Amino acid sequence: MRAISLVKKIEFEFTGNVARNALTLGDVDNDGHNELVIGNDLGEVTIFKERDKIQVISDLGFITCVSIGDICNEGKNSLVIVTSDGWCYIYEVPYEISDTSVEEDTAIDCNVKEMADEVDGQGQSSSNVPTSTTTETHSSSESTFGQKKSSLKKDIDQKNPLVCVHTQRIPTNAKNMILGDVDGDGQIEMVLGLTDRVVRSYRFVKEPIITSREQVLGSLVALNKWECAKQIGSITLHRSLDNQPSILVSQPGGTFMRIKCQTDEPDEDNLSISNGSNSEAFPGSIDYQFLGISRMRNQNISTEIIGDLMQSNDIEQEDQNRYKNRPYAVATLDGTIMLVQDEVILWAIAVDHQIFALTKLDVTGNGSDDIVVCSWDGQTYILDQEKNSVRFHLEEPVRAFHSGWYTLNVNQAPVTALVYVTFKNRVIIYYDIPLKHLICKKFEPDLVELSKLFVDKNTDSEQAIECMRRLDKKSKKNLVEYLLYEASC
Amino acid sequence: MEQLKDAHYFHMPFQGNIYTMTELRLSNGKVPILAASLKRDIFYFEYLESSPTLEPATKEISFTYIPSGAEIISIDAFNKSSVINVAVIGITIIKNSNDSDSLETFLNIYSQLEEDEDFNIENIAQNCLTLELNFIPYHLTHTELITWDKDYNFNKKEIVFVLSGSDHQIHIYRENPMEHIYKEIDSYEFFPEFTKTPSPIVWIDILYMNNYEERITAIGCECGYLKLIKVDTKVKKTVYNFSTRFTNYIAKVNLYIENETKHLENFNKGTLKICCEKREISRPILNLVVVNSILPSVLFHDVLKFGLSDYIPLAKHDPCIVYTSCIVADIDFDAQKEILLGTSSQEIVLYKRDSKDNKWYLEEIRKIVAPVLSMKYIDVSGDGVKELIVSSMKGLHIFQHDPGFVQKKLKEKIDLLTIPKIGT
Repeated sequence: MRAISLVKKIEFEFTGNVARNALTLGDVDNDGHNELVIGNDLGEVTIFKERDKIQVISDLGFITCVSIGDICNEGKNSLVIVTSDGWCYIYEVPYEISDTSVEEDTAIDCNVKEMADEVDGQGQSSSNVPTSTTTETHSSSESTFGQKKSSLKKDIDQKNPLVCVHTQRIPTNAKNMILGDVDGDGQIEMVLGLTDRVVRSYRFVKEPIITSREQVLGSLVALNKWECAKQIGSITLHRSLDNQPSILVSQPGGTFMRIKCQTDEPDEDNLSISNGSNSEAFPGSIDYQFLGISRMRNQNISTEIIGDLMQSNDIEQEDQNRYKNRPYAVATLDGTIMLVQDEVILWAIAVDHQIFALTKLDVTGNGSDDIVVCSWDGQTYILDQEKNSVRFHLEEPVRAFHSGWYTLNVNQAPVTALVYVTFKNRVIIYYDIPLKHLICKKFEPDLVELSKLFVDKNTDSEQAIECMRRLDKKSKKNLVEYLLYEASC
Repeated sequence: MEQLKDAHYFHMPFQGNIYTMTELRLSNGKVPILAASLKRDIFYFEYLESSPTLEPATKEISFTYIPSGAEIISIDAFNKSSVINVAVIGITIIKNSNDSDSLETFLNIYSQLEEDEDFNIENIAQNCLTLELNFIPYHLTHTELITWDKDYNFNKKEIVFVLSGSDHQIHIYRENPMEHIYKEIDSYEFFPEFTKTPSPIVWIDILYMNNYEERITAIGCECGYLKLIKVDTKVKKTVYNFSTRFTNYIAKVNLYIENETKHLENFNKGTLKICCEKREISRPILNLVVVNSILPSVLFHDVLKFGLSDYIPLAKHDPCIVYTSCIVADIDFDAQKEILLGTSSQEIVLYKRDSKDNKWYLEEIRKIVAPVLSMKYIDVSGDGVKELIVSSMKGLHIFQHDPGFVQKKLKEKIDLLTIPKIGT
């Protein structure tokens, strides 16, 4: 297998344990550039921009998930932080930052939080969205509130770009989070995967209260709860050909559960395992996919899944392919990587390393997503959808891994990046991955060009081309070598 | 160098040194690489042709008679024939015996027994001939030994191993084909230029010119002593001998012909012949690059005419780096050779010549992941386009030219060759 070495890198100091999903790349401050956000077990979330650390948010608890997305459905990105002890924080860049209103800002933010806690219960009761569980409401105690207030104040004193706009109590033990439109209504939902085999979805519902600062208030309202049979590996959003979203929840042994939560046409054949819901009221369907993996040695091996792999348009798509759904990738800890389309395994490869992270990134820039997987020992595989692969070895153990786009310079477009969090308290970003093609080919000279050399009064161009076609490998090689290195005029 | 793409990287468990990478030219045009690390591992790298892709393949070869605890100092390989595969691989090792302070050093020569069309590196690795050395080996290389008959007619050409040692001397190992053994021969008989130097010789570069009648040898030493000798191979006498001294360790010496002319063999097409015939007249200009580890490296221009008097230093961009290696090659296909220097600070520095005022300037610096030990520019993929092979402290890097760039350059070259023809 082809392997590469990467030279361009940035290193940041970052202490603490980083959970698998507690790092993300995205435009957190809505300036059109991508930043890196990492959270650790000590309750610190750090935002890195270009080559600097621009903000540290602290005292949040064991952070298990961070994600960047338009959770408030306002057309701008927010940072959503979920901790294992059941707190969800939403941070965003305020509409306007002026130095004079710092104190005011703090006051309002505290107000916001107080009200948010207050309206939590109301939002719950007033929403008529069908829910299978209730969000635990919570009024924060005076002590924690005071603590947060002080930390907020400190943040603003340092002119931090992001402020907390919402805090809410949610069920504990979240380990995965996706932000995306999972039910096809055009609104962004938050989907959490919990370590207690439960998937929950939430939507941020705004309250029609307008404050003096036009700060929109609201709360996360629970929409659905699904229970899985086994532990959740990862959850991902997948879209079918007609743009119908579904949630794929990976299950041990290279299997997964698919949740369709759009309201129309539920698939009756599929097994509905949601408890306490009759088929009419339940808006969606669930099915298990086993992918027919017979060679899976261990039925309990933890599995990762990533959906919605973009396919480039210029790949000559045969007619039967055109009506197929986008593929998705499944990887298991014992080193199997599979590309699956319409529940048919297109290909699978097995590697000798324990794969824990599965991401997608268009490394080559050809418009089709490549699969980037990372193992605990730092071995990273980049695979395209044609099963071509390139290996990169970090040569040190990896705590958490992510791939995506990162802005190095605000004047330039974001570049591809592989982010590694190591056990040596460092974050290493390899940027601008120099891979245009995943495969190396022999140089093939343009025969029409070559034939020009042999055109003379006895030979016309077609004869010359024909002569070039008949040329054996060795002479062609010698000719190319001669032309490139020896011939000079 | 932007068009050189990172094609492959092979991590080596232990580091090598500036002598531990060599290529082996096989009769079918393939050029596999042998790379050794100090801790006995020797890797064989080649590209397998699984069309349309090039599949890199690396295998560890267990060469016999390399005892555990031994360290590899240098490796060299050559093919005795240009039509069939008669590969010979030389490996110098140093054996640390813990009981005594004595160091035992050996030159192991591996060769193919039967002349076989199939090349099998594993078989070669099992067929060893060991020579005990009474010095610490340095640079192991090979050269042709030319023998002339009484009327000074070209008689025989054979390849011998050349090994420099801690005894400040150069040793020649010649094969006795009757007994199938290698023996050290007295260097004074055939190589009068290999005299004792003030310090161990780090690098030897030997070049034959004028139909093997003349031999130019450049020798760089640890103490900075540099010697350039021209020998008439017919009478075995030194024609001239220049020497100078730099005040640092010389890492490499590299002789190259600036205006090299070569003929395309096996092509009976008239068009190409016409293009190259008119270039034969010019006198070869031989240049010498001396890679100084600490001082700026120096290019001696036209050493056949000026000796060591016409020189240009290659400016250093950073005073704190150590230069380790050098190749001279036309890597951008502009018919002008460039000088690439490898450094200890994980860089490859490209010097280009400004053809107008004959000045060399630093064109580009390319970063790699580890300090550079040695470099080669050879066609390992077998497609006619050469690749840059870099042996670093971490492993082996293969850089391939971007095919689009090569296609463009090839078209330019063809246009240059064909357009004048239309004019006439």
